[in-house]
Amino acid sequence: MFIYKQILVFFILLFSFTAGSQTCDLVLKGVVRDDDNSEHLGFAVVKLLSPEKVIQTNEKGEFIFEELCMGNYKILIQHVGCKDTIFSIDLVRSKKIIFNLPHSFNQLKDIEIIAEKSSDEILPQAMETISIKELDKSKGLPLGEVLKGVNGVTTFNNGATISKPMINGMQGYRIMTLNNGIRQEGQNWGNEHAPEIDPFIAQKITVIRGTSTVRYGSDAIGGVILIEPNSLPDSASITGEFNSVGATNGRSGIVSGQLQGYFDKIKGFSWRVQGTVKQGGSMKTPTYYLKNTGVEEKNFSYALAYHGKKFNAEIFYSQFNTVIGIFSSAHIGNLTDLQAAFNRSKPADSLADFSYIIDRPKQVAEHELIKFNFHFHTGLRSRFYANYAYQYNKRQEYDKHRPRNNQLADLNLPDYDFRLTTHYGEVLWEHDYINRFSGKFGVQGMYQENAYTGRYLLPGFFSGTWGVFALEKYILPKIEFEIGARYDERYITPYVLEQNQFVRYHNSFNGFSFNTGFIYKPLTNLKTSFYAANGWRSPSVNELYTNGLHHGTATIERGDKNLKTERSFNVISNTQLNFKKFETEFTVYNYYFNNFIYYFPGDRPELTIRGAFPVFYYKQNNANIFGTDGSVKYTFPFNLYLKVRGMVVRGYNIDDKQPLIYMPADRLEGTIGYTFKDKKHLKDTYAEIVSQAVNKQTRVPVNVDYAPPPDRYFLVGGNVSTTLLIKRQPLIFTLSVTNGLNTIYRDYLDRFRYYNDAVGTNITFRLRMPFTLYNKNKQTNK
Amino acid sequence: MKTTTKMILSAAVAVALIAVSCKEKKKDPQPTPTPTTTGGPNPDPEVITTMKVIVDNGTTTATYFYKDPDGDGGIAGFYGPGTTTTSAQTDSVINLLASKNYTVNLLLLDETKNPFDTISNEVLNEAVDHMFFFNQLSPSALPNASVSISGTNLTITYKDSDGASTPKPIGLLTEWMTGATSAKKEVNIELKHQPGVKNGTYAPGDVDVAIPFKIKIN
Repeated sequence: MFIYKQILVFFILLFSFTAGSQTCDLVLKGVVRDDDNSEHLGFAVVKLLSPEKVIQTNEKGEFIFEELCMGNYKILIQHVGCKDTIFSIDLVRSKKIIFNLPHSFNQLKDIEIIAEKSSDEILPQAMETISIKELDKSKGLPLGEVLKGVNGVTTFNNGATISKPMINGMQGYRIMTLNNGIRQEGQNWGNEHAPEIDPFIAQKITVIRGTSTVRYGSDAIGGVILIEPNSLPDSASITGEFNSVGATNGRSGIVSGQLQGYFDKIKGFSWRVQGTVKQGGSMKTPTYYLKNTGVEEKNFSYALAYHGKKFNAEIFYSQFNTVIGIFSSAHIGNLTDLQAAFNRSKPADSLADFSYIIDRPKQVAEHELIKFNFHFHTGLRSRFYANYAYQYNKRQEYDKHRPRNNQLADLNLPDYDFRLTTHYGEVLWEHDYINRFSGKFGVQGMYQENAYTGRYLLPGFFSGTWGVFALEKYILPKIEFEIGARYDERYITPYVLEQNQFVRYHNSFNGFSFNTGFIYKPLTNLKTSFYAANGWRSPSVNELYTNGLHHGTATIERGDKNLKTERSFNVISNTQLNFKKFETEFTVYNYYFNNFIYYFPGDRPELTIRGAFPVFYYKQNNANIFGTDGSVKYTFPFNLYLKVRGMVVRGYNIDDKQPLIYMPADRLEGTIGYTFKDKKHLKDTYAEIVSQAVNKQTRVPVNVDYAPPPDRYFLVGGNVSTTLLIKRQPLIFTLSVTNGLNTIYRDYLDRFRYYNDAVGTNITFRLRMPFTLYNKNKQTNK
Repeated sequence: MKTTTKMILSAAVAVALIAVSCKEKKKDPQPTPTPTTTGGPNPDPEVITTMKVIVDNGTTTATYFYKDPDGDGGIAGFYGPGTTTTSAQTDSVINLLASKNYTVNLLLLDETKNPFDTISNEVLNEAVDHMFFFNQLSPSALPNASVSISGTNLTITYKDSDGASTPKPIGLLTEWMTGATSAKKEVNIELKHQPGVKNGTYAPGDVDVAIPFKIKIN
């Protein structure tokens, strides 16, 4: 403990904090220690693989790498008496790390980070992190679109502005989004309800696929999306980042900024404020404007943290506000309107001009998150965490159809108004490598209330969940084993409208989930993992009790209160090969579902006073979802690189011997790019052309969908980016083009495909400027 | 001691921040226990439960209806006359005689209210924004606005006007002229809400009511 404190003090004094996110201006400092006696190892060879750099530690065991770009680095450390060891580090900002060198064997990843350690760095299976360079290409897009850069991720869209992420062909309740460590709780049931998160908050986005049910919750069957802001500074400084984005399609503009600092006078306290403003107007397909497809966003967040020797505490607050216009021709009255819409080659409102005005139909959503974190070290290699979060989600939906009564119409009230309040708490204890074991234990609980006014569709409810889990990892030189188990209980108490009366129901569910797997690393640049997991999901309130006309989708939806728990059994295997010139990744998975819950149309439309509507029921069957995806990147000697990415997903309803509806179509993406040599004032310059081919989805259940799946399509786009240095001040410019040939197409997983073409060419211009206002250490050091 | 001070300080700052950040939520609906469709910030949602077609040949009056007891969604609707809720009828045939003139009144009700609300009065009050259509046909201009229903021998003439500067029909009052006998034919009676865009044609606006009846000319 004494040594640990000394190191901490040493680093606080010595470490000069460089601006968090400056491209290729990051500093990695480290201390190499003997794992058994914590003795500092001097004159160890430290080798950075790709780009290759070799240095030696000084007599105190310290070393430093400067001018690193963001990304994942492998560091090989060699020392007499110890075997060669490779460490894997995700470098997003400058870090100080202690490398514990084991005496007699190789192992990956047992590093202690003195600065804030993310509690999620412990599970490195089939996960992929979007680097800051990739984020630069998608800044300004909705979260779902940003995530498309990750293998295995697609989206379910309602036009270009509403985008729900889909992992391994699964979306909605089977996916969990963690905003700064807290699971996002919104009105997740709607296909047109995108996650209410400002992507500009994220400095790092990670997707974990298929193996997360034990750690994050039994219902995280498809995967988990981790959205993490930049860590707060830990030495006296004020830094920030400014972003601006302008796009031609929709004529949208975004300004986002953040500022973070560490108090000079009050030791241990750091802070951050962040905000984003976005405004966009009507999007345009290659041939016509989409009336009323504007979007507005106003988001902000702030954090205050105390980082002490004994404990750390943090408070985080974020607020997200959006107004999203829904394409007016996609909001239909009844079955007659629906059929008329399908038969039109152009939507009824296709003559509209560009406008920023958002009229009915529209969505107004607001999300608030308050989070408290507290953690302290229970030993040299173990920590205790206590987290609490409060979330408030308000969602108002305005039908296109105004109230018939003009007086009422003038009030302009929403037709649906949902208020979801969530309290979440967890207590975790984790330990790093001790006797070849590392692990995590925890208890988590959640309580929810959903209230509504307006028309009845989803009943109001109370619900509660609690769970307990344990996860351990056994680490050998070339192989790591993991095993975990979890138990959850859940109840739902809805108030269901039956025959004009509210009837209170009570449902309770419980079950175990498990996961087990191993990671095998026979070579330094080959890693393969195999995981088996199981999870379960209680039917959600809408699946059980929805009963009403959903105007936005022009369907009558009926839940089934006899639905049973859905169980999944899945296996997933991932292999990664990383050579200097050649990188490849490949994933294959299979899910078997017992009582898979899905949405299914009834055989005949139902007549109401407003005309006939298709009826959709929730059903359950045994089902299988399986797929594979992968990517290959090859860098030619003359700085030309080629990347190919592809994915295939299949869903099959075993009982009905039919394909599952709404599975992503097969797709292939190719990128060819050129990296320019760094100049004095221009760095990290590259230009690339991205083409994407999406096949027609031919595997669909018969006679189910409103309209047949659209044809295959091929899109071409590109990115050009450079970092301009003006007196050490970097300005990162990125220009992106999507649908460069202005191709007319419709996508199977876009609900608007029934009514209109997808958007045409969009040229986006982005500027990111990280800056340092003040850095005490730097001034004194230089 | 120093640590304790810092803990207290951080707690105090945290509380202060929350006090600032918590938004005004006083106006929110009560968190569910008995979620009501009335009360809260939203007034009673508008419901139309019933459409009545009152057919008068000068001597006798017959009434046909469609009733959706709780509006769209929820409990399924049914046709009348001659049925009770226990034996809900799935269609309705309006029987007319050949070569006759009928005066037809359309009546809309909200029977979830007690006493029930006559929605057709609202339609009349906001006549410039509303119009009934038959099989989505746009009539000729007033004063002799009429449509011929194809597949049967029936001509429907609008007998009312919304009183706008360029008057357009409403359709609450129509005259139905029959020709020779004809087999059953579906006639979809629709009320469209066309605020600011009413031009006498079917296309603009939204559907408030849409009920198919069958017409048989004997």
